[in-house]
Amino acid sequence: MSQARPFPAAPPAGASNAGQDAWFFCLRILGGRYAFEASLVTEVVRLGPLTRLPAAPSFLPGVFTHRGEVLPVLDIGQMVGQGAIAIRASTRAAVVHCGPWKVAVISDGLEGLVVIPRRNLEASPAESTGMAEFLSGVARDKNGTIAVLDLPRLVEAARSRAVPFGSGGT
Amino acid sequence: MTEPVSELLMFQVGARVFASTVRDVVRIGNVAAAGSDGLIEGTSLGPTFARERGIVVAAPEGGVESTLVVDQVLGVRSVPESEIQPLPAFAAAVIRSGAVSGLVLFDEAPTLIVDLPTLVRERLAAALASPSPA
Amino acid sequence: MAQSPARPSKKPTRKPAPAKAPARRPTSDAATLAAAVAEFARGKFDVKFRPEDYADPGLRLVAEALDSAGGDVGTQLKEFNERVQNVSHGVDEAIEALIRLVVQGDLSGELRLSVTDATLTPLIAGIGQVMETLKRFATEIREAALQLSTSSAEVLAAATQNESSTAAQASAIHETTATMEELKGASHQIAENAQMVAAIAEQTLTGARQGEGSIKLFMASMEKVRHNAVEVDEAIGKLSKRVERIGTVVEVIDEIADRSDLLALNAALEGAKAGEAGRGFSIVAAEMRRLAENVMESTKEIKNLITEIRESTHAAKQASDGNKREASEGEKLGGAAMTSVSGILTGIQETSDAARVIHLATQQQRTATEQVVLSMSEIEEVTRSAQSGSRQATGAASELTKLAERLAELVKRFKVD
Repeated sequence: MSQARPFPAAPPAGASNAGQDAWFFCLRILGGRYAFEASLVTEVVRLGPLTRLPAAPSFLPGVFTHRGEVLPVLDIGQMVGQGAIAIRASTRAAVVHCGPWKVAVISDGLEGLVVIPRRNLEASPAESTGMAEFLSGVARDKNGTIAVLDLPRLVEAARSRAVPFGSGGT
Repeated sequence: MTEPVSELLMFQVGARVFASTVRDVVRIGNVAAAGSDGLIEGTSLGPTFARERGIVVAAPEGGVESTLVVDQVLGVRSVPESEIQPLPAFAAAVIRSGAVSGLVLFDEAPTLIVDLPTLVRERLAAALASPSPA
Repeated sequence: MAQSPARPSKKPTRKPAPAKAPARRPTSDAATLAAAVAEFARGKFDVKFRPEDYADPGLRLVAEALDSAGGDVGTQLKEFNERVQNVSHGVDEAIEALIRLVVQGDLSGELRLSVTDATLTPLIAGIGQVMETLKRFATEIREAALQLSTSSAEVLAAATQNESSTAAQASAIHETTATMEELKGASHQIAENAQMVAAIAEQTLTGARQGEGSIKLFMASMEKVRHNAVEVDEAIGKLSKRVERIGTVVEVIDEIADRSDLLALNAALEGAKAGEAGRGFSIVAAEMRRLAENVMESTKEIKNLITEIRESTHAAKQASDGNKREASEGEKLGGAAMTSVSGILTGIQETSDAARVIHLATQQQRTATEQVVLSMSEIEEVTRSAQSGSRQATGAASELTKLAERLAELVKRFKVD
């Protein structure tokens, strides 16, 4: 039902250029290429039927069950107010661990692991669309620009944006 | 004997089935019989449609009983406590409401376990905060 | 040379006394006397017999007697001669007058003779009468001639007028005849057309009557449909009522089932709350719930059925209403069509009648026209003969006028005034 593709939390030991390259997990969100540290991702799964939670914020479209475990879904697009990611049967989610939080990040499509030399990382541009708040930098590869997200910061920000109870979310 | 079970009252609001521990339920009644005041509707569980049953919720510390209007009461179900999970940490962290206290998996599908008194309390507080009826 | 006797002659013949050779003197007195007597006889009534001359007494006596007789006779003869001369004269005058009358035509005046004689009186009277008669005749004739003239002039004028008017009449009649001929032709045409119209009307009539029949059939079937629809309506009504009753019963059952369900729910709840102790109770309660659920399932099915029945009843009713409406419409249309057809029939009938009337009328007209033409021909004939008659009359009148003029002329010669 879901694919389990565990990724190494860190680049394989012994790699000669271990400190020079950065491993990222890249995905497409609302037409843009985003990536975060590959070590955060534990697996990629197919999204199951979502159970909506009452009074949930918009970036939490719901939870789903994966192998007996209930996972919350994080919609980064909603987080930054760029619109909801369309959830289809083919939608893939990347299960990430950010500190104590375990979330399934949904996307419009997964690119998978990319390797960027650290020297190719740039600072994020000055313009602050919603996403820029959480960018740790900009990378480029042969396919184009990749916005590098600081996922832990994003998740922490999400937590602090929780909708107070009683206002009837969703 | 056997693993501990929880007795859950299964009820329906709209298209969704919810569960709540029987301890919080005083009784089940007709909506009409309850009288217009004391009816709780428009909770975060969603809007009601058929409104066939009212779940009389235990009053907190000698307060007034409230009747939660639901579309249908499905029955009582014994659930092994091992099948009851709390909300995922992230979800619990981002949802300030305490209405959902956990989940129970029925055939891989999560059914939300509702803390009825909290639900009622939150609803009443919301009604006081914004007088427009939900 | 006849010697007229001493009698007066009646005939106004003038016979001059024949000249004689003087007689020789008798030798004797007797001879002388005889001679004198002869002279006397010859009309010399003034012969003297001179008795004295006679020595012979006898002769003297005879001579005296002769003298006296002769004197008487002589006187008588003289008178007689005078009378004869008078009468002769009178007759001559009368003759002259008559001649004058004849020649000059003078009837005026009376016949006056210069001589009078009783003998002439009848003659005068007679001539006078003749003259009177002639005068009268002449007057009458003149008047008649005048009248005749006038009349003949009138006749001529009239005849002339007649001639011209008969000519005009003849030409008018001729025109009329020609018109009549045209009319005959036209009326023949009309008659034919009318015949066609009548035929068409007959056809249309047949068709319309067929249409009428069809419409009547249609309306009968509409009536049937409507009747059926009414029956259907009634059946539906009954069905609906029954369904409603069932519905009511089902509602009651539902109520009961619902309450049972509620009871069972609460029982289950209590059982659950009691934990182990209430397990049996919960089981019973669960069973009760199942029962109630079954009942409610059944009632739900019944309710669905009722809904379906209601729906199909509604549909049936709508259909039947539709049918009723359509049948009503159909009837209305049929009625309207009937009215139209009736109108057509009436119209056709009228047309037919009218066509027939026209036909008859044209036939009559044709007959009449033919009669008129005939009459016109006759009149033409008559007129023509009248014309010729007029012409003759004119000619005759002309002649008459001329004659009258001539007569007048002739009569004019007679002076009557």
